[in-house]
Amino acid sequence: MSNVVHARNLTKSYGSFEVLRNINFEIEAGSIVGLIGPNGAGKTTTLKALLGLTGFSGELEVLGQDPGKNRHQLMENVCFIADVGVLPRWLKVSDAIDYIEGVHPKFDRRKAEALLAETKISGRQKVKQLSKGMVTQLHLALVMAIDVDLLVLDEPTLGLDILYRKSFYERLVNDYFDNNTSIIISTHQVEEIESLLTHLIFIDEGEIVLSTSMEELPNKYGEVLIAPENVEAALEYSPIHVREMLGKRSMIFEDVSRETLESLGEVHTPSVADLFVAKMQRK
Amino acid sequence: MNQVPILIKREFWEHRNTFLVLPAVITVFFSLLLAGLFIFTENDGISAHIVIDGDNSSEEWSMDADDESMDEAMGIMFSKLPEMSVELREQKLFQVFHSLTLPFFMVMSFVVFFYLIGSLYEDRKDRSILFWKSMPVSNSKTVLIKLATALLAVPAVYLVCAFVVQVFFLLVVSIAAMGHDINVFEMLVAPSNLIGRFFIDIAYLLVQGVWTLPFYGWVLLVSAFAKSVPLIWCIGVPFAVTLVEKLFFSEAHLSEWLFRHATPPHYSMESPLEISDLSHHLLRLDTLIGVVVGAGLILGAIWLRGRGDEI
Repeated sequence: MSNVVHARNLTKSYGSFEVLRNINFEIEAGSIVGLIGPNGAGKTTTLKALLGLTGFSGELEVLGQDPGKNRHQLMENVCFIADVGVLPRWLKVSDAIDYIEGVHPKFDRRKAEALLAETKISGRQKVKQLSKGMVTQLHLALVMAIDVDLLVLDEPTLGLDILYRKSFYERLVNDYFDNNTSIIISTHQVEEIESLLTHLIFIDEGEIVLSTSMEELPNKYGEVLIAPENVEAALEYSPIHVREMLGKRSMIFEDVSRETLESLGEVHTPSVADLFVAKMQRK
Repeated sequence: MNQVPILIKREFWEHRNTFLVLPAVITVFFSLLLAGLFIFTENDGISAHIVIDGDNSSEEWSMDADDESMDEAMGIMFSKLPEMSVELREQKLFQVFHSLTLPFFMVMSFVVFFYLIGSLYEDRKDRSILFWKSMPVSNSKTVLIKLATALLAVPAVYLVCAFVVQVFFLLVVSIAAMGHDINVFEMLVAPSNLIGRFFIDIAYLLVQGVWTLPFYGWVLLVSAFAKSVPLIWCIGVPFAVTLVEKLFFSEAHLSEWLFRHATPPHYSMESPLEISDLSHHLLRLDTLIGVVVGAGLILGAIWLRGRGDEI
């Protein structure tokens, strides 16, 4: 499969502070990638570099284009939702539809209207009259009506209540995603998107800590609930994370063969959230 | 696809109050005022005082309605019209009608200035730049649309409103003149030449746009650059330059030059502007230098817009 994003030695610094340090990654067409990291890890900066919204050094290709040079051409095939509240407050909903129809060759007006009809948002309302959750619904409806190759979501559900968050991701996967589209979602709320992802990138302090497909994850990482008598044997394989669970110890191992792990106890694949904690604490 | 119409519309959505509502309110206000002058004061001794100085004192044409009714005052005015030469009549009527466009042009310059100073700043401040930049619209188009809105679209609205007031006033005066035994078309409609003046005013506004390009360019640059209060930057930098110039060279050529280009080119209140005056103004070296400087500043604004992030 071809890659929609190709990043080599991506670096960005503000003065002497390096936000991104020589980041390398690829994103395959048709994947849903979770870009996960704590606040200030460099998630937003990475996404902005992909969209041509910030300068950077290094090599970066998005859909075959250099985002630093051709942002407006790139945007014909990329959609972007920054965290809630970037829609201009004075904009009327019906005008927002007219506007995108007027500037975006891949916008389907009827689709946007159909999506909005399912919400409580009316065309006469201005953005400032909508609640935070409704603004996100509006933005998502507008974006879902644009047929692009890459969708970039930066903390799209930040500050929303659980109902909106759930329906946001359900909509995204059920109504939007198909194999021609790739999605990059940045978040620090790992649990919410775990089930959607095909790929996972952990980022911390401007460096990529982990980059894997969800399919490969079980081959590389295993979590074992270890009986007390096996603890010492298990520690030999230097687990990357250990925690107490109901009097037993749960350990996460990296690059230890399945057979070895099975000899220690019952093996399962760690959740993304646990793996995230393990990776972050190890640094 | 042609994005220009919707991009201009977008500017009018955002600035509906100052681009459309305000000129409409001024139009209605002036029309009512002018109509009121003739309708409601017909028989009252009102204090309307219109003095228009001619080229020399002997031709002074004044009307003082302190002690007489408006109707009588009108009578005096209308009786003087046929006595004038064609040129003088045209000049007098120009002075009257042109004075009606001035308030529109003055309000417009403030509206355009404050629009431009916020045009590349406000969306960075409220972060909506992240939405605008997620659309396939180039930075140069974004900046040039804002310039065209300020230079062409908004002046067009204000000019049409001024024209409406002029036509309305002509109508009211003509109706008032009917009872005074003068040839309304020959004495009022033809010499006021409103349609001809309308086109000359269009040309004037275009020349004004070219003349003020370095100033508009400066305002756009500041708007794209400032991280807070662009107005302070916009005024503060030329002020600082003036101080430095005065201090070291005891003159202030640079800031005076910018200030000259911030104000509209001379538009005589005395006699009607001709196309030849405009083309003459357009071809001055100062104007051409201004265009080059303005273009440079606008390129700077486009470049900054490309780098610009939310604040």
